[in-house]
Amino acid sequence: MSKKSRGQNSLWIGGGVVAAILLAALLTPILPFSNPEAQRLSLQYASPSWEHPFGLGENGVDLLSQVFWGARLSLGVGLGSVFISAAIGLLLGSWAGYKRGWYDDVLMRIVDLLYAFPGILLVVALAAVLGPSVRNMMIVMVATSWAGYARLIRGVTLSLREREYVQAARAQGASTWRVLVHHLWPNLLAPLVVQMTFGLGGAIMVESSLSFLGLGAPPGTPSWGQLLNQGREVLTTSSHVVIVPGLALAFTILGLNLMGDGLRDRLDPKTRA
Amino acid sequence: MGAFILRRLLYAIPVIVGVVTLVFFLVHFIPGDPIDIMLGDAAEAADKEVLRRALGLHLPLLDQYLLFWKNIFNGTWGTSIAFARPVLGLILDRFGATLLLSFVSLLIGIALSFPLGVNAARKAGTKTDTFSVGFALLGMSVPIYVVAPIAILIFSVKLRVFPVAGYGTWAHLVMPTACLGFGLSGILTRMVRTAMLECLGEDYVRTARSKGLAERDVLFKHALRNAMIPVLTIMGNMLGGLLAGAVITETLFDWPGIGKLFFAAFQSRDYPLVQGVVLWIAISYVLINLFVDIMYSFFDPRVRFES
Repeated sequence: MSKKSRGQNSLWIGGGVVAAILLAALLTPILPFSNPEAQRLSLQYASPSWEHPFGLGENGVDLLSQVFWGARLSLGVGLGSVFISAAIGLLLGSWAGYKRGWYDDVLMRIVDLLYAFPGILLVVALAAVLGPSVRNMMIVMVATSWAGYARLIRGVTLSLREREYVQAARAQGASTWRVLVHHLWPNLLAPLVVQMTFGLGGAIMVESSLSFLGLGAPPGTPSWGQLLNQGREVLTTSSHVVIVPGLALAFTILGLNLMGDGLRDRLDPKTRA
Repeated sequence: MGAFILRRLLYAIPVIVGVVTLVFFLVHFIPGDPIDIMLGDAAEAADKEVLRRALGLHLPLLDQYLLFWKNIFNGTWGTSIAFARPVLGLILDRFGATLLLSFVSLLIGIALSFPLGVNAARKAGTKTDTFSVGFALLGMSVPIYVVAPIAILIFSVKLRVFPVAGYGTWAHLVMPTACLGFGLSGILTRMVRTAMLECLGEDYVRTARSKGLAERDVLFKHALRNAMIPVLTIMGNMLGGLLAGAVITETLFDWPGIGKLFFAAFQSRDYPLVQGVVLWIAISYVLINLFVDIMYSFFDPRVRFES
């Protein structure tokens, strides 16, 4: 299979998986699922059946409904944090790369500081400080991921600022803001979109890691990470409690990584890893 | 080279001081009082005050900060609130377990990824390549808290070959390192394949082939050696992350390492321990990056330390 056709396949297969999961997450409230929080204590951890195709979890919650509502949480938190981080990274990174000077130095030192420490520990530390809630989880994810976008965008901006069209705009007296918005940003979009696709996979992993450790969504919120943590306790007797959310998580991240590969081949051949 | 190492270590000092200072103030802003957590809400106010004074928590924040640095230099790194033991001793106790987990996992990752990555690049576009790319994608996409329960279910529960969790014997080492190594091998396979693909297209590889060198020598002595620079960078990052403690793996397999210690310290608001672990991690990060830089020159003699 040629590299190009594999890139195309990755884009279509990954894009299809991601679109299906997005659609499912969007439609969950109007689909005929039972209340995800409804408890059937006598049926706790019951195996999959016609009535409950994914089986039941802790306190007898319906896993089918939990997994779909969990997708909404994962994708919602993931998309929200990725868009905010990317926006901050685009703004700070392109400004630093274009203007250079002390501002660039300060920004890069802050980025270095954030990179001088393992990401997951910083996430865990911040989440422990702020306490478990969906909003706090987003704050933690933005606080620890904007630097990656800023670094990427600054790097690409450094090479773009020397291009003739940027110099021409500057020579015509265009303001910094105008050069950024009209000339640099449109050309920064391709690497940004590729990074955001991989970033969404990473954000979903962080969300489920935090929920798994009890630092993410508050107890009771349908979340894949929480389901995985609950399932761990009953692994030997009711393995479906782990396998169902585990597969949902794995498929989502697999789809996003495939899509990211395909997008990179298509949009951004120069930064191919 | 001595001057290079010295300069790098000097440059690292402000970064380490910065990280530690940031964390010092961060932990003190955590809602929740360590004294309340230790003694419980029902404790007498007088008892709480005694303990607070004994731990130096009654001092102004700036004084506590200076005390923290003083303790670093007297070799105890302070006293843990929850364990009532010197912080450095606690860290050293746990570091062995983390070191073992890190190195064996990384070795498993390397053992899986190098043959897969090199072969994929050599046979680019074939089924071998597709298999390697698929393996890499799987390793990168399936998080450890999904892989580990499934592995436990198969190997510990059904087949009963390895213990579910714990620490102490070689058998305990297999499951956590295999699961962690699988994840690492995903990223590494991808890096080795990409770096090899680039090197195999270079002129020096064509020259090596045209002068009749054995394919094995072309691959390993010429291409792989040059491909090692980006791969080393990733491996350095991985090792740095691993030595900082694989929080989730250690939790899953009840492995008594640095990651679990850090998590427990944060949960009990054990300020001295949190700060100590952060300092330890920051130092090990710097040392690993330095080691990676030195390794560059081993694989690529053109890398000069003076430049």
